[in-house]
Amino acid sequence: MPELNNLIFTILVSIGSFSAGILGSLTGLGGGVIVVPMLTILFGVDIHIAAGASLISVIATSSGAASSYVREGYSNIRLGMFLEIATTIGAVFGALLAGLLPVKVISIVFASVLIYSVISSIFCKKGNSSVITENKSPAFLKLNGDYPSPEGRKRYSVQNIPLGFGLSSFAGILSGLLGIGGGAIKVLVMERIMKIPFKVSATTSNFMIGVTATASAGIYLKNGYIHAPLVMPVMLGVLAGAVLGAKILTRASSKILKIIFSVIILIMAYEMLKKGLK
Amino acid sequence: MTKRTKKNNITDNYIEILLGNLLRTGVIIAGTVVIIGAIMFLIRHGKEMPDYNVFKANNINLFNLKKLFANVLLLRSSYVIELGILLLIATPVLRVIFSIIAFLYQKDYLYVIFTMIVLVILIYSLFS
Repeated sequence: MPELNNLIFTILVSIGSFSAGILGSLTGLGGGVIVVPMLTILFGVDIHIAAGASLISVIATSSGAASSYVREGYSNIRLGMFLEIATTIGAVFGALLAGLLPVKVISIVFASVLIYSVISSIFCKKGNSSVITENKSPAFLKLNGDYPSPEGRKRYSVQNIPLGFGLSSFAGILSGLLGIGGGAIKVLVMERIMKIPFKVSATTSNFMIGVTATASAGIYLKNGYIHAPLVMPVMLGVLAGAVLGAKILTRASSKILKIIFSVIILIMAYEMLKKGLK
Repeated sequence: MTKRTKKNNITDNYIEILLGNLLRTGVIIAGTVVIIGAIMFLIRHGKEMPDYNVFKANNINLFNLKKLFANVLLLRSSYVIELGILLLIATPVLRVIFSIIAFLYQKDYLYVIFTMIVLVILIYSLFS
């Protein structure tokens, strides 16, 4: 779109990022995974620069939401810190890979993540997995915790720690490679593999996202992927959208919305795939 | 045992609320700086054409602080935005540092080590 000047471009990107923030918050996928394809498909932004702007917006959203999540007393800081070792190592690798892999490969990986997100949001119901209280995790790690429930605080025990740790590093790699928070993957790993209650997984993952993204951000800065004038509308747009999305979320989550979102994400996946296979 | 866990939980939650507020304050300050920089940028360069479709490395070293602040003082808009970005990136790093202090206070040395590993990785990424 060569006819757009900086002012109009910034306004349009703000609106787009705001919508991405709402969509990301309502679907639980996070703004980053929506904003990167939007910037590359609609605005023709280079995927590295789009990922750079997205990564900064991910840090802002994660840090901005942290205080409202903690108050509820769900998140498990020890678990978060333990898994952050894996996600930050992964994130550094992912960010280094972003500089090495061809753009086409990155586009295809992105499309796969989008398709996978849609499939998992359709076929997996949130908060359905059973919580295990039987203690299997080594006591010295102190990973087990409790969370508020209608019947008072309920204890849970963390399962499959080595596998969960390994998959967390994979989540970190994707985060660094694609400039996304990867919250959906982290939640999936914690909930499905480590058998942690959904609310605990979601809030703990939010804590981890900011630190994970920061581990990629240093490499992104050095590679020159972070363009200040683009970061502003993306960061503020996604942040504002996420705040609004979180407010809507508690009121409505209808099936029709879910279908519309899935269609939008599949269209983006198709466009990313086309970019990758061109 | 139960008494001890309970006590730990209260401290954990208290620490988390402090950290959460720290993060939010960081985001608000960083966001404000970014907005100021962006308004300056749009006033000066609003009518120019953006060029994000071709990848051009933007090799400004954020951690050359002297240069950064010199340019901020000269009111160069993109450096003001970058100062905001730097402040934003600093907030999770601060969170990790404060977590180390919190675990030290709780005498939980295993988690002091875990958190220090995370800090080392962050420092490697930011300063290598």
